[in-house]
Amino acid sequence: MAGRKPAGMTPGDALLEKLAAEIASAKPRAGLGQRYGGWVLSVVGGILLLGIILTRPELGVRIAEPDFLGQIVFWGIVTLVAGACSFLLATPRWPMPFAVKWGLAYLGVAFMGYAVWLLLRMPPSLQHDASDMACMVIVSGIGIFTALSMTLILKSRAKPTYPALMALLMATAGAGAGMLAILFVCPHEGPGHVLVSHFLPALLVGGGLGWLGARWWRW
Amino acid sequence: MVSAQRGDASAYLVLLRDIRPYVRNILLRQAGHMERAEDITQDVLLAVHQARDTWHAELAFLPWLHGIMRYKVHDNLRELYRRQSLEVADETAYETFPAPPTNTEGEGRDMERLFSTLTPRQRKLLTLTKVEGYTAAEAGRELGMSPTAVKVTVHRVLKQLKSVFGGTI
Repeated sequence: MAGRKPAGMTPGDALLEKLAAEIASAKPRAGLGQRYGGWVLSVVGGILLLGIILTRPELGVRIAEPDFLGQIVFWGIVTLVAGACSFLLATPRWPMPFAVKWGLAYLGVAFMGYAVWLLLRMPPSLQHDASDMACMVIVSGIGIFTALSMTLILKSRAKPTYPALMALLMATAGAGAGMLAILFVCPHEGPGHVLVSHFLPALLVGGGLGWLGARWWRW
Repeated sequence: MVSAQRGDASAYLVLLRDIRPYVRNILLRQAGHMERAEDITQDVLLAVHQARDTWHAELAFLPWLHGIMRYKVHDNLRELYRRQSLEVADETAYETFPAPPTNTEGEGRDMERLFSTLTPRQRKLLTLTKVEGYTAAEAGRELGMSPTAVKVTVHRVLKQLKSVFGGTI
């Protein structure tokens, strides 16, 4: 009788036969570098577009100063490293690649270092030169755009071994891109403002996206 | 795997047959229970099938396979803990609060009418999965079917019932 399994065949054998019978050619996905390149281009494009529309007035002067350039390089590297790690984690793999372990260590040190640097710059009385809703919206918007563009590039076809970690790194990339974008837009650099209107929204959006992504990337 | 990705069914069957005992032996050490190891092995083989387009010829095969195994073991444990936390330890709780009186006679007749259109095997499958709350893997073991086959068959039977009885089910 068609469909009946032969005598002596276990359910496991039947499953193998069924899977083999169902197989259709499966084109391997585009290479990691190609997908990562596409994501970097979309993020750079988004930040440039925002920078062109909402450029801060004295950007021409600030861009020549080393501390400003240092911040651009810092957040750029954070975004690129976190993004690269999440792309690496999108494919099943165990043990975890060394590159991801180094990336995690780097990001941990970088975030702690930045928080310490921000606190050291803080005067004794919290220099809170007004929280600005516009900055919060820009940081959050770029963060969400960055994570969303990665989700679209990977579609729902990523099969991570560590979905929560991948989502957290994706959210970190979003937070980094948000911090990078706001450097080109907001002229207020007082530590209180940076902490309340830039860094905290980036952390909150990152945490929220990480929480959502940990569920989304289960398969 | 390269041939399997090209759609070569016989090469794919050889690959699955080769990796099955390897996966089961490793999972047996982790699960410590033959039946659970076999369940997770089947989940892993299904996941290999689903994720076969994520493997590239330049990637080593075993780290990729181990990545899937690790995910499925954690997934299985999470499900196990979730089910354990939902279980009620107080057996007298059911006796303390009797079910509210309802007119179940009509429901019984409806069920008989629905089930009369099914084959005995379909009836058994639907009873196990929809009435007694068996998982696809448990029902599959009971009836000698794979979890995938159980899910597909239940879906087809429900669709068939819907087409016969329309919105009444």
